[in-house]
Amino acid sequence: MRNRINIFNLIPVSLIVGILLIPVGLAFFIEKVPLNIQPGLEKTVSINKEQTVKQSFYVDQNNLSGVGLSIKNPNLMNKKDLYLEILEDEAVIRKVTVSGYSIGDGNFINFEFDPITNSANKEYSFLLSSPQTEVSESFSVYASEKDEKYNRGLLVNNEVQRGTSSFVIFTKSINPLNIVLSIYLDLVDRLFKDLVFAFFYLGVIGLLAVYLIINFKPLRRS
Amino acid sequence: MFQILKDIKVKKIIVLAILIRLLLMPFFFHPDIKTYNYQASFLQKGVWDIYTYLSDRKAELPLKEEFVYFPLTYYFIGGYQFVISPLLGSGFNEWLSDSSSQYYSHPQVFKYLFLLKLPYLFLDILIGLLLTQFFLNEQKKREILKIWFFNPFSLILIYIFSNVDIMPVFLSVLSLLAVKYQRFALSALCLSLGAAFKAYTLLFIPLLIIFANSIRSKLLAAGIGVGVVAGVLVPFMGSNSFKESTLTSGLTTRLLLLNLDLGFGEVLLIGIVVISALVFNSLFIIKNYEKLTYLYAGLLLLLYSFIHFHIQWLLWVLPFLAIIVVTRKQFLVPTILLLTTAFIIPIFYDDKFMSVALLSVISPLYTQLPSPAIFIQRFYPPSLVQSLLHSILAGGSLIFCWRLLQNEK
Repeated sequence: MRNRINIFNLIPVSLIVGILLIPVGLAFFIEKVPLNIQPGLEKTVSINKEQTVKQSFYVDQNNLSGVGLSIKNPNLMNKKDLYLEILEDEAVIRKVTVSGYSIGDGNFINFEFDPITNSANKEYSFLLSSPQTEVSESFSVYASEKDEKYNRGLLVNNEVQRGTSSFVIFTKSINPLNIVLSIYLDLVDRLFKDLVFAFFYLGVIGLLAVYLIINFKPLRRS
Repeated sequence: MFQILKDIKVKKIIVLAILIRLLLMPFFFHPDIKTYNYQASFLQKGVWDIYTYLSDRKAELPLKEEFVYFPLTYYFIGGYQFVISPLLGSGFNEWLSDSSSQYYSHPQVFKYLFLLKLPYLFLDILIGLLLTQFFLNEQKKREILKIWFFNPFSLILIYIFSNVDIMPVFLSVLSLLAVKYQRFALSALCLSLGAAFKAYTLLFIPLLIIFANSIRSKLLAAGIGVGVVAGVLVPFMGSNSFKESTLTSGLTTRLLLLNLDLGFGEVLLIGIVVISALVFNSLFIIKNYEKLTYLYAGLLLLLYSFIHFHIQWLLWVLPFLAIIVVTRKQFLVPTILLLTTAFIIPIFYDDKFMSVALLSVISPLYTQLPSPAIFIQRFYPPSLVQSLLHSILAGGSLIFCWRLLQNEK
């Protein structure tokens, strides 16, 4: 009986350890780091056999490995392929094809490609096209009227537009520990943005922990 | 009930339970908590019929979801928001109505989640204390507290999935306690109030009527049960939006989906067959609150077995299972097995908010991780895994109920 009670006593400890460690453990599996927050989804630009969308952007880190975009595919109507080509000095260096079957209406689609190892401090473009798509079944990419740090110009059929497509740039992380550290530093930073709450919350946790430590009695051995 | 708090061991259990819950509250996010709080925020603007209001303004509102709960949920959450509005501050409504995926970056998101989950903590602790009232032995009281407070299932459902069903769950436990003290009218009142939050507690009322110890108690239980629910729902019955959002969706219709064709347009509704068998069985057994606990738990387990259920619904059965495993130790392992199986089924829905995205407030980077559905897809279709698990749950639940209702030796 005493053994069973001891097991019961271990469960809360395991729960606390689990709550603290599961997010840390999962963070080690995160490979892609976004460089920017997705700009607002304020308007859309169509992509079809008559219209392409080209977005130039700047990258300040190595291992560029993906571009994320919110795409509209009303009623999941279009099953044709959507292409994203990464251009460097107008030469295609990566190409990703996504089938319309896997594009839900308004889905955030991450176009992943092999990392570009020396991408830091360079300008690239991505070209979105879908030559088989009729105008009536166009895909649309979301765009924002506002400017964005990494934006270097949005072109629709080679005509310059105001604002930027709502893109997110991803780089591949080489050291998972960096990701874990950046997640938790960011978490602490955001928690302390509301100082009153942060001190209240940590104070209550601290008081409860002190109460338990003061009243802690080691388990008796049978 | 609060007498037990004088025991230092109980105090330590409760303090540890609160500590664990506080660690979860601000850092785990399921979009439901934002959606139903957004909808309930209209109470402060004087909206009493949320169903029609949302339906009429669907085009212009940033969040388009219907309010799927019964009216008391709306008034409870809206009323609570009103009480804590000075603490929430001016940015709260802006955060609620933000339909973008930037909810996590709001500087006060941790405070919002903490405050919005605070009533759940209060009710959760109260449920634990209520559960001790089913036992006379001090050791058993502590045991049920440990089982209720330190089981991962209720922690996940209440503080990670932000399950608003904690309110009817609390009322269902109170109702069962009233049966222990032969207060059948009070018990029916609790169940019908629970049903004004979420319809499922209505399922218990026929069993309660069967268990009531006199004709007068039976009539009183039936009258209160029907009367209170009708009193709360009648003002909304004229609203088509209310009917569409609540009465013709979810539990009611799902219960009628699984059927066997009898021919000539007739079908045998399997869910109803099984529940009806359980109710009829209750006519032949000794009528005490322990048996009623078994029947409530059995009924819910069979319900989960024969319908496509939401993970949140699993909270309904947990207090009854806690009583069962403390009363009859041999049910501990089967309970863990059944609950684990039932928990895994919805995890395989293709929805990241059933798994990795629950951590999105800690960091949105977690949303990049593949959901269990995507992960398992590499080896086996997730729907087949779900079907396999659901079949195991159904088979296990049938045997669980049969063994539970056998006479104890």
